[in-house]
Amino acid sequence: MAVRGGAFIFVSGLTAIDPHTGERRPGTTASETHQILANLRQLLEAAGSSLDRVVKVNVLLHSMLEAPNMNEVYARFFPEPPPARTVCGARLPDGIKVIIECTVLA
Amino acid sequence: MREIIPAPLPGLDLRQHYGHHQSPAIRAGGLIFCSGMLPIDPRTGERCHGTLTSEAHVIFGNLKLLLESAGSSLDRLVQVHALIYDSIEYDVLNRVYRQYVANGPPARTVWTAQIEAGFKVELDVIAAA
Repeated sequence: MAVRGGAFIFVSGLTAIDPHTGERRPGTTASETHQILANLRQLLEAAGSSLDRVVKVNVLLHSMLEAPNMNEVYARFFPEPPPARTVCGARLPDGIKVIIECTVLA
Repeated sequence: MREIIPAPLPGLDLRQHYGHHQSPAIRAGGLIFCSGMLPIDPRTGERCHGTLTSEAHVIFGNLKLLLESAGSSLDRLVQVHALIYDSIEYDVLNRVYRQYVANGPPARTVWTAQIEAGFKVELDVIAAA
């Protein structure tokens, strides 16, 4: 899920899964974004970091038409000032609507 | 230590113009991580739709402004992700790219993706601080 290297933690592209069972939690772009960022927060805190130490986020969406729906949920998770970010549309496997990867200060 | 690089000109603040929840760039661990760079007029924030070539010129101009405002430069790029709307434009991208990124070019990956607002190109870069 994540690897520490140098000053950073590099986090794999996360999809919406139940953090306890590992099962997929498919939903809307908004609900998948919410699940992913909740899991990311937990993962970073377990690694001794946190969302306010995220440096760069890459968001892959199944359609760029959904970018505002992602952005609205996203804005509720990241404290001020938010990290740098790139969002693009891509063909994602298995009907996944959102993938989020990031680089974080350890 | 995580430090925000503010927009050097008002048009480059995509958060203010388009509501994107992001900082223009962040300095951390000796590197500068830039948010996805788009062909935006750096003074007004208006979208500069055009050919891939014209869009790439605007992007590199913006990237130069942003990096230099942070004490870095295009010569200090370490990694570039170039997103283009269609791989048929790969050679077109390269022609512009070479004008801005000269010798000892950074690591680079190019792929096709859906870019916001129907733009033809977007650059996602990391530079040495």
